[in-house]
Amino acid sequence: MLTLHLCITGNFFYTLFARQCNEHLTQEEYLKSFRILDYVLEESSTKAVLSEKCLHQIKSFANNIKLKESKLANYVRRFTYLCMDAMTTSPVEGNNNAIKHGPNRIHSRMHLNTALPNVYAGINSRIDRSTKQAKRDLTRTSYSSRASSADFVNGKGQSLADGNFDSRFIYKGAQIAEEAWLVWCFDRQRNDAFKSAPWCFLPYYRRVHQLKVMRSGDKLFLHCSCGFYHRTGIPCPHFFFLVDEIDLMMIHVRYWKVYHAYFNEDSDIGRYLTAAQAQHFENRMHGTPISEDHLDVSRN
Amino acid sequence: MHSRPRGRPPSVKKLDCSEKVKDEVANLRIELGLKRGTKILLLLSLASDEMIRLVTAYPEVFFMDVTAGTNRQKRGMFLAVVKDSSGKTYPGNITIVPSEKSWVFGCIFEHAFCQLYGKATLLMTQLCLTDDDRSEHGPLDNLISSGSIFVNSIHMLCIFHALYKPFQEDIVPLLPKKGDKVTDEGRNYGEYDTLTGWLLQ
Repeated sequence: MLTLHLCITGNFFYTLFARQCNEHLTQEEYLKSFRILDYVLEESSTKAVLSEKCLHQIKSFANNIKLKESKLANYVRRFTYLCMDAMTTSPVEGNNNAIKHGPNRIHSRMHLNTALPNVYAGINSRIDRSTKQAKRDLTRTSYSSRASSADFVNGKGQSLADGNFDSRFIYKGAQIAEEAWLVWCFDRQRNDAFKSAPWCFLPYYRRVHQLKVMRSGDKLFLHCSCGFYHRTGIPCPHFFFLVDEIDLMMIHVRYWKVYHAYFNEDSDIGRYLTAAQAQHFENRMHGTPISEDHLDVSRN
Repeated sequence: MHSRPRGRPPSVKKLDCSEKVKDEVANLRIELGLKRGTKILLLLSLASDEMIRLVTAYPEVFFMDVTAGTNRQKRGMFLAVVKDSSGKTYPGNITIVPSEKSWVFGCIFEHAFCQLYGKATLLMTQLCLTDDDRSEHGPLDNLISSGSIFVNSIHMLCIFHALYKPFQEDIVPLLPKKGDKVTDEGRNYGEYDTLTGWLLQ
């Protein structure tokens, strides 16, 4: 009965479409989900629950989604540099809310020459506050992490890195070449609720990721096929399976505390940060930067 | 178009518009019932020095949308928002648009963005997210595919606007509600063990 209820509320079909947009890592997985949808829709038990019109509507909805593959599918953004898995325009809605209901609020009866300066002043004061906060944070000591980078990286970056670092023990790996490894984790079991129909039709992928050393000039990088570093600028758990250390050089410069406070300022540190950003961008497809020492440890 | 509070530098030339844009402006003048010689403000694209600094620091993702109900003139406000590394979001660009036609958005991306942020910054943009409004993202797609701006970028749709909302509007009303009559086969749906081999492969 639970499954029937889930099917009635449409959760199964929505989950199938949502997984295409936020979970599937390859085009094969994406296309397979459509085959699964066709199979489920053809099942006699599905036909018994859903009306002919509803089945037709789901099929035409799926066709519409298929036409927007390049605009919606998750695999498209797998290696998109620093996209932070952005999927919705909710940041715009949040800013709209701040503009319409914040301290410098505007409304539909306001003339443009009053509304615009209000918006402008509101945004500038928010940016000013955040820059001042970033400068105050520079002197803060972090007690939430024991990593050597903790005092130099902002809270979000360090917590992401710590989370991945702490989960390194659940992974297994094998060296397949002098500078290439396979890393996987098969420990996680599927929840019992997803073992009955129709949820059992949704495949649960056990993924094996490949790590390989890449070089650009005299710089060394460790590239992981999961694409986490490309998307976020923070090393993935597979990386930490090989390199048992969090070093500041591994974390993208945008997470450094000085970055938000001094980027693009007319000073030495401002110019250094601008150059560092350009350098990261140049090497964006190479993976996490590492040193020779890190590579030696990984080889052993 | 003023990029800074101090006004447009004298060295900046006026924008060169294509014939298509000139035609659209002529149509707009007719629609607004303007007399010959009356000047109209087409776009007002704003970005303070601090906003430009943030866009330069975090140019990778642009979240874009238009909001209504912000002024008496009933002009839409186009917002391009960037996200910093702490997850906080800031508007990088505010543009007051005369209408929500595609040529207006074309002008914003091609002229206003280029003038305000420079091509070097826009070269670093990797992802532009919009809602499923073709007049908004159509010009963006054209500019990306022609390689004139946002060269390294891809355009994607907001899954709330492109997936969740249409699903709620088109499919959910057709699903059987609690208490609706279903057959015995449907009632026992959860008891079927129909997991076949090919699905697991």
